[in-house]
Amino acid sequence: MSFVIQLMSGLAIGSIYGLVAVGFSMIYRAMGLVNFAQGDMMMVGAFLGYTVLATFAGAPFWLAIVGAMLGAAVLGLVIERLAFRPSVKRKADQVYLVLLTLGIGIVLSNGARLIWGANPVVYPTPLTHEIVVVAGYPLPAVYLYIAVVTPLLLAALHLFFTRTWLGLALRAAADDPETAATFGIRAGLTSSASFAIATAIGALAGVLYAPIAFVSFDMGAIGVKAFAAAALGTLGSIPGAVIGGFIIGLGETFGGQLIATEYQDSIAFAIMIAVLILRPTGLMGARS
Amino acid sequence: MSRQEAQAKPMAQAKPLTQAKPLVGALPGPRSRGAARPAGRAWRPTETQRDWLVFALVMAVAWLLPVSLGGFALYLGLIVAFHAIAALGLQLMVGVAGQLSLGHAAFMGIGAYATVILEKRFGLSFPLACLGAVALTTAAGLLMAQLIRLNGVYFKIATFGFGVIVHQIIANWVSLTGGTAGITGVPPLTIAGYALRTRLDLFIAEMVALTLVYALLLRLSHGRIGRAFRALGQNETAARSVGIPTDAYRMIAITLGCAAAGLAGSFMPHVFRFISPESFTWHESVVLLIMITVGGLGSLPGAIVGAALLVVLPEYLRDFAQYKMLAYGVLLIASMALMPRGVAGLLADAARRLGRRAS
Repeated sequence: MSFVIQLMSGLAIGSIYGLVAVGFSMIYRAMGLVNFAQGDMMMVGAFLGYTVLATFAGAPFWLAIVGAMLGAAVLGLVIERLAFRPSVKRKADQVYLVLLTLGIGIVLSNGARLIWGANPVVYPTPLTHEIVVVAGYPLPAVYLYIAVVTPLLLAALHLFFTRTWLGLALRAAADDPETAATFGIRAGLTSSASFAIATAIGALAGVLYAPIAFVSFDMGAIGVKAFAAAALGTLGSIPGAVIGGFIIGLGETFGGQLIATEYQDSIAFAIMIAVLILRPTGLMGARS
Repeated sequence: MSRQEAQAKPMAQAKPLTQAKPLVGALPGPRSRGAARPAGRAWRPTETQRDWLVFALVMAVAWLLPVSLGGFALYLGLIVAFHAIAALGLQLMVGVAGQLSLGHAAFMGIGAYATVILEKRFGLSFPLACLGAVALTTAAGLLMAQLIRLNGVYFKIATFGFGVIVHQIIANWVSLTGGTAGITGVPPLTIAGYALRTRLDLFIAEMVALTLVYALLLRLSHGRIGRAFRALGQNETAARSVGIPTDAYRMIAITLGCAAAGLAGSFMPHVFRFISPESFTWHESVVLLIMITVGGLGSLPGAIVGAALLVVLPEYLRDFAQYKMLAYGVLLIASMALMPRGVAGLLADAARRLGRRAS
């Protein structure tokens, strides 16, 4: 009984980590940038969804998803344009870029604190408390959304990267920017597009996560586990990010149950470090 | 640099060396400046002499200013001093050798808790407890240094994970650390039977440690190890190609940085008379990184200036306490956009301009 519920909650939280990790991986692939602000982008997305639900009373949940994704995409574009592109262009050092993303993360989380307040908020939607009974197991209703939206999004991403010009252009530029440039794919375009898509996916994760938890300015901290997920599934690999998300989600749920729930974060990172020691470039990395 | 770090693309490793950044000062070569100076020109200090002049200047201000102002300034001096020790270690590791650590506060935590526990539980005097704490953080640093086999980005995320794990152990091992409630009633710092009860006594003890650490790291950075560290920081592939054993030097840099954090941590409980896991979160690691960035990445005196700025400024902006982290974030972004070489870089430029005008 409780095993199935644990399994479901592990899979649900794993999907959230996986989604944030996908955005993290996309930005890394496009710009070689380790974006430590990704968790905070997720937090901003969750708050944008809250604003949509609070402003339009009775708005359906999908509207919050769409609104948050659009708003976050715009924010992502602005941040990419103002902060990252100039630094990447002048070939700033990695240490420098990491600190820049940290700074942006701090500004985002504390800016959100100014806008939405320091107290956690709860989504004003019935979904927050709704329980559905699936095959005799009571589960939060939002799990159904997660179970439907996550595969849909991954399928859409797959189509995007294999069937559309922009998706192919992004992949080409990630593999070989110089050659891609000779085919008319500008570096600015690829980094803008990657950033917008990555922040939108982060926002989606935030909105889906919100009904399970509270929305607060420091919820970006759970995004750090998405880094663990992206790293153990090899940075830059989208399937790797999703698999990593599930490994971390299930690992911390069951590991927390076995050892102690206070150590959930440690378990997540211990799993990551153990995997990386065995496979230094992650699960999807080339065997050296 | 970024693409080279993705090991998934092994081709990047074979990037032609012509594209490598020049290894300024990495290789021992003829001392160009000073030696071939034409006679009759005004005396120009060599790089080494200049660094020691700055050392004397910074240390003079650091010793005299808090003491002469006294009171609250002296208390701030206590806080600046141990942060400066940690920032110096981090500067060597991150700014000079290019080994980014995102969990540095955890090592301060190990040092702080080890010191207090050795003093309270085992009744050791401070020098012994401090020695034990530094030994323990060095061992922990050596353990983390084993992760250098992970490539670039993966190592950074692993250091972050290391910090999280250490913090959670401190916060949850209640029987040893008191859990989230922390440890109160820290005994006064005692050296050779003499208890340092006043702020001034404690300040002198801290400043002796800071001066020694600064002198040691400065000496080190002018020697063979320092040159190897700088080569690592500028271009690891190129450093390896000229025969520098990069793995060994990376481990040395990481271990030294962590040992300095441990030493800094062992003073911390005596300054506050209290420690709790709150002081060693991921935020504190970021604050340490901001210190060295604002001060100027790669500059040892910059680390001390950065520590002073980030401790003193918030104290005078108490009314805006809720904006503190926001201000830190803006400060971090602005300092990297406007002064990529930090306060130290600005001062160095100003000094050079003055020097040119004088000659």
